[in-house]
Amino acid sequence: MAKINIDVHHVTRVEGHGNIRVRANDGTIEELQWQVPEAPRFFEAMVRGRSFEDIQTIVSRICGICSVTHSLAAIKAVEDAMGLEISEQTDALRILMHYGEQLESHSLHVGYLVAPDLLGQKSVVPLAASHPDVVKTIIKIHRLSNEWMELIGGRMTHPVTIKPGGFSKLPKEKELRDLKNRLTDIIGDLHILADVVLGLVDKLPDFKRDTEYIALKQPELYTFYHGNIASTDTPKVVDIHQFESVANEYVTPHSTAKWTKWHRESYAVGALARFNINGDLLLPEAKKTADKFGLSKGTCNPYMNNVAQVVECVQVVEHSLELLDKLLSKGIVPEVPKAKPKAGEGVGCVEAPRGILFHRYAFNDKGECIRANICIPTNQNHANIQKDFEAFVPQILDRGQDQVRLLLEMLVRSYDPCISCSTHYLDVEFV
Amino acid sequence: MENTVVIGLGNPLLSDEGIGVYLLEQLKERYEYSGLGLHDLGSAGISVLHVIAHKQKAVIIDCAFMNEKPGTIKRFTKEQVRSLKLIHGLSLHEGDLLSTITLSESLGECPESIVLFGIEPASIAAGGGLSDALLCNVDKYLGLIAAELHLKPKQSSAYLSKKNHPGDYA
Repeated sequence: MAKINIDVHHVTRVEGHGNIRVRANDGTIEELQWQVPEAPRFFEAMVRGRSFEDIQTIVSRICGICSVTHSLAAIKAVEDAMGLEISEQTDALRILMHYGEQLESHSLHVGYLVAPDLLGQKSVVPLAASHPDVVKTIIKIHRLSNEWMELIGGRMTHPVTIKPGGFSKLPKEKELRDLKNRLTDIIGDLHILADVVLGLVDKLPDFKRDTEYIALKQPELYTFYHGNIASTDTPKVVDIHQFESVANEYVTPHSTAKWTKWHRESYAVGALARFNINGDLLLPEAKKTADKFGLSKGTCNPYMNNVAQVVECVQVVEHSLELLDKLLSKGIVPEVPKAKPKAGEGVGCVEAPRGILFHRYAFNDKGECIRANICIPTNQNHANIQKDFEAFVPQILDRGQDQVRLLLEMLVRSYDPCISCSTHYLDVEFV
Repeated sequence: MENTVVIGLGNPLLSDEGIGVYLLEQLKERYEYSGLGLHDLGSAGISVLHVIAHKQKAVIIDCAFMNEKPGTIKRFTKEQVRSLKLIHGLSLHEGDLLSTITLSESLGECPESIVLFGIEPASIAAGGGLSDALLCNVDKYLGLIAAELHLKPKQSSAYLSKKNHPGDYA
């Protein structure tokens, strides 16, 4: 058997990224690592000393793709610490905004990263030439989700309207009615996207590894926002305030990111985890989509995370239509958020598109942050990616270096990792 | 609907990486910009695709490694540069602005004119505000960008302008 030497490696430590390292000789694996050499960025230190009113705005800059999610986890933690109650309207609008980000992120991931793999292109740029209709559908969905977040958050990304106790600016009823019409229309496009992926699903590798999945769980709702922490390994749920006892963060020699484990050596979070925990609570159109793919609870092929993302695109739009009906039937009530600082500590937990996200903050009596802890979903998946590598590579070693490399890159992509998204500078030379 | 958009990119939590966002805020504060769309897209570079769609002109301000002295500003178009970014496509979070513009072109919705203002950083370390090398040039940067857009200063801005703390994110 030939030598294999794969080193998907980024030179710049600043920009981070994950590295795939495989060395094998004559069928023997000598080295096999998922490395995350990202430079730590100390966001937790940056919020220390800052006012409880600013935390959600600062942490929204952690990520350009999940900025709403970070803002919402933070605001929930702040309100928990300050003992602030919010109205049903605020809660519904925040969930609605959160769904916009789920659709934005999932459509981007499936459309821009996964579809090129399945259609044999290097990226979405050549895909636009080879499969223009597919790309136009993806961009229509992605554009709508960006405008949806802008409507409620005041900006396409890094929202500015979220405040302790409510919103600084509320959407108008007419704008919500327009959103409802556009969401009703986009369901057809989501079915087109699902059919495109369905036509290619046979190209996803047939790899299964029994895995512990972790996600939020709430009675009677496929939840992304409220609930307790659930695992496929136990019927018990854990209160979000005890999230550290679930994540059990630890460090490994070959990664600067923290890794996590609960009942086993690793666990997975993300769309497939949510489906494996809440899949029986999908709304009708989303369930129909899952059934099309034969996706059922207990699926443990990590590549199927992409299919679960397609199902969730339909789910979030369907539930958003329900929320919009409720909001519009009551009418948007003007509210002015009121929040006074007090000493305390709080936890916020939401599902980011790529998995469960935890924020914890402590404040002094002036409302200044004195301690922060953020546990992101991608870090929770690192150990699981490594365990997948260890199980999968021996099965594919005879396929040659290029195939092994492609399959491992696709495996990492399937987890939709958030690696070092906070920098996007240009790096150019003049020609 | 405005035909020209101005986009600030970058992360104000990472020192000079946030220069695009800072200059955008300063433009808003110091210049009359009615009729223009000003967008802080932070580190969501892919959203550029939607903001520039079907516009006539886009001006994009970003931190740029150009092998120049820190603080140098350069005005250029996509055709004048080649990207040195290594994108492996493992994650959505890797982005290259120039590829996004290429995608916009292939979709047939790209503005006729896209002008980039790149500013060479001194530091993109976590937590810091803008470096002195950039701060002392802010007026020059704004003057060049305003000239590109034919913007006039707000009458009151000379004495009312509140200097934002560099690194403010709101």
